[in-house]
Amino acid sequence: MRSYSWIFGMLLLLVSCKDKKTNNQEDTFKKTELLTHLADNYILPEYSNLQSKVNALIASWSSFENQPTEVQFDTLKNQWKSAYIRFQFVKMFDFGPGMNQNLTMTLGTFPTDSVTIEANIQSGSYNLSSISNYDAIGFPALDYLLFKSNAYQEITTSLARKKYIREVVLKMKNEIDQTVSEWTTYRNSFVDGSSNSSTSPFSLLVNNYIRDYEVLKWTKLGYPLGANTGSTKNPNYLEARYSGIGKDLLSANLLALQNVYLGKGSNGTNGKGFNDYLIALGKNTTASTLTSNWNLFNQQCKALNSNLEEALTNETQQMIDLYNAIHNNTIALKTDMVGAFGVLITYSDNDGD
Amino acid sequence: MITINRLLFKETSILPLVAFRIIFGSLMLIGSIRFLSYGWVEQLYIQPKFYFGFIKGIVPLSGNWMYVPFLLLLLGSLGILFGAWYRASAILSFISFTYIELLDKTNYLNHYYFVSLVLFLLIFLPANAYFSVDNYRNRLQSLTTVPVYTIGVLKFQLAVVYFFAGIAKINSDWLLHAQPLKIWLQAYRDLPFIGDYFATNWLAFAFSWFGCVYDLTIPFFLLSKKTRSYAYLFVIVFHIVTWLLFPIGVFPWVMIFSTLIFFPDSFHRRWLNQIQTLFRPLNICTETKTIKWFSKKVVFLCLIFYVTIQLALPLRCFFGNSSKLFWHEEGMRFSWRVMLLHKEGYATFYVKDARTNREIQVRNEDFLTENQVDQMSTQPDMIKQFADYLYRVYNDSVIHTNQEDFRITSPSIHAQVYVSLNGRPSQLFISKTHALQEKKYTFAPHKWLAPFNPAW
Repeated sequence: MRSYSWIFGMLLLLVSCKDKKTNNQEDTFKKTELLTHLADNYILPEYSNLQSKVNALIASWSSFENQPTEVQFDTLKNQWKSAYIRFQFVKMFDFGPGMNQNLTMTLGTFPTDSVTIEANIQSGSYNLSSISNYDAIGFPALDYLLFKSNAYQEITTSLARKKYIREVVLKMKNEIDQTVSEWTTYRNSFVDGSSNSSTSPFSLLVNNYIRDYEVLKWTKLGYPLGANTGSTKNPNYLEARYSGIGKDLLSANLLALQNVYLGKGSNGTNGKGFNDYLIALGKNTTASTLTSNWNLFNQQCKALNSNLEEALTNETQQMIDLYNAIHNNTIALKTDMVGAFGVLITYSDNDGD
Repeated sequence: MITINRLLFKETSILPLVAFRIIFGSLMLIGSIRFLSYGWVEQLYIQPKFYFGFIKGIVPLSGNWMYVPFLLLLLGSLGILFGAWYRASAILSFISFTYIELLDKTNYLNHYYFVSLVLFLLIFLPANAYFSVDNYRNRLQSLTTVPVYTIGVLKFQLAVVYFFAGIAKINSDWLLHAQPLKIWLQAYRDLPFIGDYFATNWLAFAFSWFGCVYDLTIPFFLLSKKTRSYAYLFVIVFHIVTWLLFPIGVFPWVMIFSTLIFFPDSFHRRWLNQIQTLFRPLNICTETKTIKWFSKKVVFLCLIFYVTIQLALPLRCFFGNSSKLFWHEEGMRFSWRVMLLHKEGYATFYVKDARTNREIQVRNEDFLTENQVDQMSTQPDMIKQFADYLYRVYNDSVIHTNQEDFRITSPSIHAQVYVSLNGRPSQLFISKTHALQEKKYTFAPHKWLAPFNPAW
């Protein structure tokens, strides 16, 4: 029996060697190319985009603090808005330097806790770095502080409030500056890290990508829609509820995930993305499903009312449809794509059984 | 009876057994230190809110008490290594190790099962009868020979691991599609110089076929005196390659060193003598106590019983629905089916309340760790366990929202699960239609699992 097996094996080897020639792309795709392109044309430029937006935010805050006018206040709010949108493009990179600063959490935890914020301002003694203050800092805290009713009046008349805002903004700047500077050195090890162990950069990238996708699904749509509370809607779970820019943030987050998937750089340059890896692996069906789903989400998102809170009330079904579409797409993303990549999520031993 | 007598009870040198005791004790010691130093006790046995236990009632100790079994294991390993209070040490190691492994299916590995079995066997073997602290303590007569079965049963255990791992590889995924190796090997496509080969099909096929033939034949080559040295070379190469390529922890080293049991006393005498010169004073021994043997009849019957179980367990899937083994995973564990599956799943759980007609979608991460979600999503018995847990959590619970609170009085737990097996497109694994809390998890085929479509 064994000798037969060997002959059969030899035959198979011959057959598969022939296969190889027709399947050339499979042999030549390198994850390093994907990681290099992503680091140089997406991650680094996007982080410095965010850095300059936050710098502009600080500048407009300073001008406003020195000379408060309604016009200055509007500029400030617009700077906050464009920085918050930029943040959507990097929050998925919750590993390496981003994780060292815990950027995704400190900048983007919502819903913000207005009670804690007010208590902090009132008492004047607080440690913004403590975990208990994660929902009293970052972009969501500014959403409350800058956009709540009577915000202009309250800020201009309260030194304590000004101080709090200044410290929140400076903390953000500090963390982004740290991340940007660490990434310049981390870049090289990121680009090399293409093995499939759970701690390699490629695995970190894929796992955090999936996690960001799930976080988007739950926090931006699922919780407000009441997916986990028997469909009782929770508008206070909406992101950026005071400013009402939730839809811009949702579509920016979706676009970021799409760009990384397709390998689209921040200035539009095309390079290798997950899509190319899937095609190299012969997973064309999965690749095309995912590609068309991203476009579908964009359309569905665009069609929603520009204010998500209004959409939640008046366009509930459309929002549920988008939520369900994103949810169903997780199957392709998590089982087909991650399965094909052979990326491990477990950090302990694994014998594949 | 004479042949059985000769086969099992002929006296042979104790050295291979003593060598095995020292090797296995050291590996256990290294393994438990490694486990502790990686912070896995905290991650795997303290942090989770819920555990996928094997046996009802065997649950983790609370909080930091979970370190106790690991420290006992450490102590027991030292006892085995030095042959000190040997039997008590072996019992202690076996109980604490097996207890830990029974706590959560998430962490099940075939080689942990192997360790449990060997620890169990060591309880009954006179591995401390020579060159041990027990000798030195003047408690135990030093023996130079032991009945052949004491070494044979360990050889049998190792041969079972290899042989059944080989049998398990005789399936079309492994041999005709080179899966899951194709997926795992292509991930090394970026390696300098050799990376291109890892992305090719033929290397995956070569590895698959070689692995299958290796597993099926290596026990026999190790048994034969003529081929033993060459076979051991293969053992070393094979396990080092797997150690480099796959995150299987200390398993390759356990196999590389345990396999030395196949070598005769002349081989072990050399390195044991080397160590013995370091411990010269230990060798003084006055005979005070002899090992009490079980009667041959008892030993014979126990061996038959053990061997039968070890042969029957891996074969049990063939009595059921073997073609769907990888899909349903009935008869998967305790069968040496190593490295055969690359399953990726996505499981969404729903709590439906008949009275209020509400549906709640569960966020798995609210209850489970990332590791647990990953393992649970593809394994039916764990899905059922999690569903039962959700039933207990939600039954008669109040859901708070900003608008209203409502009480769930008659929850029904449903799951929609999709799984991709060995590179196949994902397909329905469990349909949302089944109320899982009503299903029984028995040995009968599970009707609530969707049929498997083997198409690629």
